[in-house]
Amino acid sequence: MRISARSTTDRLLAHIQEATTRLNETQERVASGRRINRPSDDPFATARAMAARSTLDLVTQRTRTVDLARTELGVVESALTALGSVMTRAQELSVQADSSGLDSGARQQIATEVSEMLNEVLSIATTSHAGRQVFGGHQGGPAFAPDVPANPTAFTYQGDTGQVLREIGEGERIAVNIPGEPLFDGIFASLIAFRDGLLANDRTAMNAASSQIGAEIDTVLTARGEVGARVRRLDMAWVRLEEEEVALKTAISGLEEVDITAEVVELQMRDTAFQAALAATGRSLGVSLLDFLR
Amino acid sequence: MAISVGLNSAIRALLTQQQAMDAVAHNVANVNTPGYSRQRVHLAAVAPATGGVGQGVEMLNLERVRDLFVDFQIRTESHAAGEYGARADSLSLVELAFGEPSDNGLRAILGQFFNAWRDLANAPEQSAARSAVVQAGETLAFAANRLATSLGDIRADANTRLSASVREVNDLAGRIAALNGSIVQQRATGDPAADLTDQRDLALDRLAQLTDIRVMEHEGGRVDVFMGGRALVSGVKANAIDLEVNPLNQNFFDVQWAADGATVRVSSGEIGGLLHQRDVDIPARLADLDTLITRVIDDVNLVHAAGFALDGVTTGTAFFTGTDAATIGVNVAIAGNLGLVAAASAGGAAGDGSGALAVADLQATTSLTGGSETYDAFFNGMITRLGVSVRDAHGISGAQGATIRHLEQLRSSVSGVSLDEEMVNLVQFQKGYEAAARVIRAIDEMVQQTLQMVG
Repeated sequence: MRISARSTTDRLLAHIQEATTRLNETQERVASGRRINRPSDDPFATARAMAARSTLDLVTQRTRTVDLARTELGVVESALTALGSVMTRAQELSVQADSSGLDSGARQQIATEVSEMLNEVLSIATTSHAGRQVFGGHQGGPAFAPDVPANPTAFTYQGDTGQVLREIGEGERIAVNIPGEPLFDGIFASLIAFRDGLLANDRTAMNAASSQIGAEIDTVLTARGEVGARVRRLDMAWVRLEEEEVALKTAISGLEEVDITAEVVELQMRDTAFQAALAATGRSLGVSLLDFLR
Repeated sequence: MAISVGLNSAIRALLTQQQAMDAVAHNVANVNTPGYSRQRVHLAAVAPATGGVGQGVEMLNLERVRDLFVDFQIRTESHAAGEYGARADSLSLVELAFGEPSDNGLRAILGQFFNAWRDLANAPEQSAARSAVVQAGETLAFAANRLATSLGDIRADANTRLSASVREVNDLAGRIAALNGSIVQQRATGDPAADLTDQRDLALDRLAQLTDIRVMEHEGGRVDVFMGGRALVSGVKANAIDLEVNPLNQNFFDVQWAADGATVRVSSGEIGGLLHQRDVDIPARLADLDTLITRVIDDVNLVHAAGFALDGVTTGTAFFTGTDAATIGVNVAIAGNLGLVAAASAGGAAGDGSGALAVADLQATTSLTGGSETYDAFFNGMITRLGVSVRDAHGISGAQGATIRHLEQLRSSVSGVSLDEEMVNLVQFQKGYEAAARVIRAIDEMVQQTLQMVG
């Protein structure tokens, strides 16, 4: 093939440009640490990375929800624990009050303590967390209201039966509340009956109230068991989300990030190729017949 | 043999070698001129007038060394190179506008929008969560608006480049027509019009990048250029094409023949590529985006309208207004009154977040592509298709570039000036000149001797 001056320079220039482009590509990858900077770098890996990122966003969101649900169930749990000890104390008082040696004055004193207990149970029943009534279902106001605040004879439930649900997985929801009515109605009734029995110095009524209190302690224990089971489910969900997060992050970095060792070796190779192209150009351009015609 | 015959042939030799050296000088001078074809002097012996020894040398003709088939190939490949170059440029801009994969693109924003609803479901009575939902909705709307605008801008940019290309076509067509005239005139005098032909070939090469042309060369040296079946250049006449604003196509330009307003049929070259980008490729991306955004608007509005506002009574409110990516926005009534965000699925229950969860559930619903794809999957598919198109356009344009470079090497090996070769020719012609001069001296000495003998 005949070689013209222009074809030599054009070819050498093309070689240098190609070497520069290839060197640039590797430099960009090494500097950014990313294998995919735009979809056209690898369209299918991009799609997989994007899907993984979307799932990761969702997993992060659900981890946050699980954390929130744990806190919320923790509030319910401690409310139930407090409720349990109030009722246990009430049971002790009912045993004490049944003693034949007590006169009506001593029973009046116990009645005062039971009145205090009613207030304590009311404050437990109207526990709120982050502005939400824990035992009020979906309703905003205090879950229970006494008829006569100073000396209540009945407590009205102002909430509803709504379940407060938290999404912890795809279509997997867990309730973080216990509707107040079935839990507290009996407790209020038993304590009121006990107080009224004490005030009336009526041992039959006191005994009836005492066995009612025993039954309510069971209700509280059942509720605590239920909440405990939900917390365990949350713990499991949390571990699963944590594992999923690690797996997704690994997948994303595998798809998007460069293997830095391999890339640096490649960079070295391409740099050498670039230097070689420059050296070849330098030598070829310098030689001409003109140098020898003297 | 008369002495004058020898002198004449020596003189002719001097002049001819000088002409040949002139050609070398012209070649060397144009070693770096784009489009230049080297010129070669053909020498021939002059036959004797009456028999016997011939009358020396003469320049037969000046050849412009050129491979017409390579020219044809380069022009054919240039159509595709121009077309895919234009497509790669525009599509790269589209790719840049979407900005994936990242945590700031539409994918992430769409995810954040649904996550905001999940947060609201966790705290339906809190106005901060409601505000976050509205913010996320506005961010989504803004991102969609911005993408629609960017795609529109890229179309407008293709339109602007189209008008520049059309002007260049007219310019080149005019130049080719003018050169046709000059070349035909010069050729009639026996001059090969080599340099003018080089200029015309350069113009034809550029024209072939802009549009798909067919070139017909005629006896006498003129070329006719056809584009889309009609003559763009016919002898010394150039038929102009012009741009007509088309109100039916967003006031973009139609390319038509100036003479009668007929549409110019261009399928390739830069102009073909730009038209394809402007009218087919980018609108298809925009249509995909609109499909997604319209689905999101309709789905969210349907579910949201079924929910109840904070007051526990208001229902049936649309969350988004607008119908596509360009017009989507958050309902101003909601932006002005956060209580209208329907977080509850039943009336009179302020703490009920199941309405918000129902909206969030839409993210996992396969409501696109005939009920087979979620929003995320559809968007990922869009980006994959875009990535493949960009990669292919770059690939084809790169491959075309390599083919053309190879052909240009071929052309250059035929037509390009080699300084080494020219130097050898120079030495050769110089020696020829020296030798002819030596012959004249020999004849002169011969004549001198004869004269002395007489004297």
